Order: sequence, then structure tokens, then C-alpha cells
Amino acid sequence: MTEVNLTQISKKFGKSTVLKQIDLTLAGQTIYGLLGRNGAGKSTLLNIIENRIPATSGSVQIDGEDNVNNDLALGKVYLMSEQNLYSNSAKVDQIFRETALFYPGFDFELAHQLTNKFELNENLRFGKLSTGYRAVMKDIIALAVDAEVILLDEPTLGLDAAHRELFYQELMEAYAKRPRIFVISTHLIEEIAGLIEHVLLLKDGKMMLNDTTENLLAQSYAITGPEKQVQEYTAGLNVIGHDSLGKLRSDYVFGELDDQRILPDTVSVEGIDLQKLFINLTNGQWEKERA
Amino acid sequence: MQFNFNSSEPLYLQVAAQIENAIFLGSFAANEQIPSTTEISRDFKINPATVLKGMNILVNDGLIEKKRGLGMFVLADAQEKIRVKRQNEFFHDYIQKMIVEARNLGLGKEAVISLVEKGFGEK
Amino acid sequence: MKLEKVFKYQLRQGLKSLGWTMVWAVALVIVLPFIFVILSGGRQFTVEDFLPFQLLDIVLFVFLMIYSAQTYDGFQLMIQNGIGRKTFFYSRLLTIVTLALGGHILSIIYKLLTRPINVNAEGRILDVFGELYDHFFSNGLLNQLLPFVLLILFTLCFAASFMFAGSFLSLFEKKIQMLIIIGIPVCLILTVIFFGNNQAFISSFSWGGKVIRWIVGENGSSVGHFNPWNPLLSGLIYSGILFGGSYYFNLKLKTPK
Repeated sequence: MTEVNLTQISKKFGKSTVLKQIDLTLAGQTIYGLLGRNGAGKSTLLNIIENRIPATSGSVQIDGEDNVNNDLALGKVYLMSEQNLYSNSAKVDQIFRETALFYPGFDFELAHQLTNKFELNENLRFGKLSTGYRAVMKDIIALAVDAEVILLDEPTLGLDAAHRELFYQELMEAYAKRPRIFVISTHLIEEIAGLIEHVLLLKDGKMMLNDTTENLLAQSYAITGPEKQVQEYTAGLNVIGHDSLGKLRSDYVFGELDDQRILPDTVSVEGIDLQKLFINLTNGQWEKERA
Repeated sequence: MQFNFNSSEPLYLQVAAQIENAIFLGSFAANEQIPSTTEISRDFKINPATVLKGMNILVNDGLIEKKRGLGMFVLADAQEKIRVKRQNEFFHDYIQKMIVEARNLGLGKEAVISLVEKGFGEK
Repeated sequence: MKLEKVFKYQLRQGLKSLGWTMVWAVALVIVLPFIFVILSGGRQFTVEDFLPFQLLDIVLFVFLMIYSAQTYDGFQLMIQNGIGRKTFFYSRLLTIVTLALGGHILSIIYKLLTRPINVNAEGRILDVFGELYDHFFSNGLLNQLLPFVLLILFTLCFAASFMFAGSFLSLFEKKIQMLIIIGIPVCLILTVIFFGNNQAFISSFSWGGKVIRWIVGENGSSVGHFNPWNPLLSGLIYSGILFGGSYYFNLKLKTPK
């Protein structure tokens, strides 16, 4: 099984530092969600993994081999990005055939099925496709190539609601049939909340969270009740944000609760979903570093 | 079936609950095959590992069994088991909660009993 | 490295493009004027009027100029397919060498075939290089072979120049590319205007002239007896430096820029 290891990856563009000493391992048969707000460095990180841009420092190893200009390492990865690197004059079916030259084992049958389902005409030239259909074509290739690591950078950008739904369904089917490493980068969390097993959260160029979805949700709480009691109960806990309505207040806590404290009858403790956790962790209110 | 990704209940428990409910209501009959992990995963865009985890709860509860190479099948006594389980949980899940609410509303025992009788259509 | 795969792919694409360029050239240079003459009527015509002896050479050089300069599109497609910069560069170098060699062999065959009916031919197959060097050796075969090698080497120097320029330009965004493409000629013209009357500047060219004479291998003897080793050595050094520079720029390619 393929393993991708990032060691102390940093990236500067001019004076601004986009990534700061990222350490990361992608392994096993897992769907990772690479989350972060716009400009958090998600695309930059993926571009560095596939060596489209160089890192300022640090290294990426794919199965123990440095990825820089290493065909063997890079060929284990397919990166679907917003950028269009295919020739505008090439027809869709030609692009499929060319892809198969470099990613042997390209699943033509699946690709044809998918072009039918998405109603993508394989005789059209890439340059003639709409933005949405260019994304669809790249998504289809990503599901049909036999690479061990599939990186999807905003795979549903420009797709309409029906196509988004269809894409994630096909992704699930492809993954269930052949589990491998998927990394889905997106800022639309609701779409992928049920898909991702492992959350990678980028904030200000740092890997803020790197844990299973289950572990994260198991330690995320909403403490709701009268303002005074809620604040007494959450004092000293890792409160990442709150909502309030008059005297009613919800404190969002990320981390362990204090078992010693007595929960007043008027206060309730509930779990929160990934979207809420994400918003509260990334909106800047939360400054406390995780221990 | 429907899954609420915004619910505070873990997704795998929702998967287990939904399938259990479908068995109880007879949508998945005894000895019949239930949809595969891949199908559920695809249709509801849920990670196959999560679906499998939910199904394993039902396997441990003795409601479904795995037949090698074929898939998951509803056991003959599954519906009955669910009925017994839900009967046992009825007091905790409904009666106790109802009494708490009744007290908050200032309804006495007699008032509640008469409402229950009304609900059963006896008055 | 997946050099073989990439080379096969690029060579096939390159041959396809070269083939189409030749077809278009033949259509534009031969067929169209031919039809025009027939349509305009009456005038006596001979086949040789429509068979430029240098046709394929010109096509090959124009093609190699464009092909060698185009770097970025190829890089983008390759990195999308998991091919690194080194493989990309080596494969392109191999493709250019192969196309130059194949193109010239094709051109020679064309010249041999058309010579009997082509009055413009004047007999020389190896052109300038043959004229300059084909009496240097006492061995007839060497006298034919070395000019051919020089012709190929010259073609590669030509391609290397455009590959170097194209690779360098690929490092910049469109706006800066335009600035460089327009800026450099403007600077050169301004230099000539400002220093055109300066004696020291002009005399520096006489020094340059000496260098050029050395490179050509002019050794005081008559044309045809020039020393072919000088251009061979110079060409190797020149193409080596420019291909090396292209390699260096290729390693710096990235997308997005």
C-alpha cells in the first residue's frame, strides 16, 4: 500500500508564507478531507505533493522516494485540480487514451459509463467544454486512473447540484470497489461530511487538525442553556465559539469535558457536526492552541 | 432512508438505526438480503467503512448475518427481537420523558391517564 | 524514469505535426501556384518552377523553430500525467534530434528524387556545408559524411537556440514574456543607434569577424577545403551550452506559475 510522507514542508510566495512546516502522512485506504478556508493553502499543498511547484523547504516522499522529478513516485499520484493542463485542441476520448499511456490500467469502461451518465460528449475538444464540463472530465479521469493516491482539489467547482450528487455517488462506488487513498479538498463541508474518514484542517498555513472524523466529533460539544450556568460550566474548558439568543447561550467546546463538574438540569450537552466544528475552529475566534 | 449529516448522532449509529427501523417496519423482510455496503454507501454518499460499522452493530445484535460472498441477510427472528427491545426501551424512552414533561406542565397523574385513554380512543 | 514511454509519445506527436507542416507547405508552395498558373491560363510552365529544391529544408527549420520553442504546454500535460521535468526534457531533446536527423534524410531523398527534373538543383545535395568542406579530406566518403554531420549539428544549434529561448520564457507569465520579447530587440536597436558611430564599437566587430572566420574553419585555402573540425567543435560547444541552459530552465518549470 502506498504511503505519502510530508516532512517539514514550507512554502513561501515572495514574502508571504503559505505553508508552515507541515508534517503529514497519507496512508492506508482512507478518504481524507483537506479542509480550510479560501487561501488556507490547500491547493498549494496538493501542488507540492505532485511536484507541480517546488516547496521552499522540506520534502515529500512517496513510498520512501523523493517526489522531485521522480516519474515513479509522481505516477502513483493523480492530481485533479482547477487548473487546466490538458491541450485545448485535444478531444475528450483522445485525452483518455493519452492518460492511459502514462497511467496504465486506466479503466476505459468506467470512463465511458461516466461520460454517459454525465452526458459528456467524448468527441468534443477540451477547449470547447464549459468550465463545469472540464471539471467533470477531470473528475472522470481521476476516478478511472489506477493511481494509488487520488488528489481532488475542489472537484465539484462549477458542477450543478445534480452533477455534484452524481460525482460523490460515483466516487463512493469507485472507492468501495477499489479502496485507495483519496484526498478531497473543499471549503464546502456539508457535501462531504459523510464521506471523509479523516480530517486535515489547514489554517494560516499550519496543519491545525489531523485526526479521524470520529475522534474529532467525539470531543466536540454544544453546551446549551441559560447564559450564566453555561458559562460557569464551560469556564476553563476549550471553548471555540458560541451562539447566543437573549439569555440563552450555546458554548461550543472542543476537547474533553470536566467530569467532576455537575451539569445543571437547565443545561444540555450535545454533539455538533463537522460543519459547525469547522466554522468555529476557522473563524478566528478560537486562539487557544490545542494541547 | 434518510441520513442527517448535521445531526449530533454519529453517522454509523444512524445507519444502524435506519436499517433496524426498515427491518422492524418490514421493508427488509426475514431471510431477505439487505442492500450492500457499496449500494448504501453510493446512494447516500456515506463512507463504506461507516456503513460497515453500522451494519456490524446489527450483526452483533443478532438482527442480520453475513453470508460469505452473497451479502447481509435479515435473520428470521429479527423483527421479533426488535419488538422486544423496543418494548423494553418504551418505559425509558417515552413514559419517563412524558412524566417529566407532564410535571413541568402541572398535569397530575389522573390527567395524564385520561389523556392516554383518550389517545387509545377509549373516551 | 519513463523516458521510453514519453519519447514514443512525443515522437509520434512530433512526426504528426511535421507531416502536417510538410503537407501544408507542399499545398501552399507547389499545388496552389500550379493551379493558379493553369487557371490564369496559357503560359508555358515547367514542373521545376514548382519544385523548390530547398523546400523540405525550409519546412524542417520553420517546424523545428516552433517545436523547440514550445515548452510550457508540453510540460503541463506531462506533469498532469505524473511525468517529471527531467524525463520531459530528455525526451524532448531526443525527439528534436530524431526529427532533425529524419527530416534531413527525408530532404536528401527528396533532392535526389527531384534532381533529374529540377533545373535549380545545381547538383549540390549538402548545400553550404558541402560547398565549404567537401574537399578537405582525401577520402571521398568522409568528404560527404562530415558536411552531413555538420548540417545536422547546425540544425541542432538552431533548435537549441529556440529551445533555450522558449524554456527561459516559460518561466514567466504572459505579460513579462511580451515585455522580454519586445524589450530585447528594442534594446539591441537602441544600442546600434547610440554606438553606431563609435569607432571603438565598430572595431570590436572586426574582432568578432575573426572569431566567425575561425568558427567557419576558414584557413586561407580555397572554398571547399575549409577545416570542418572547427565548426564541429564550435557547434558542439554552442549546442551543449544552450541545451544545458534549457535543461536548467526546464528544472525550474512550475504550474501554476
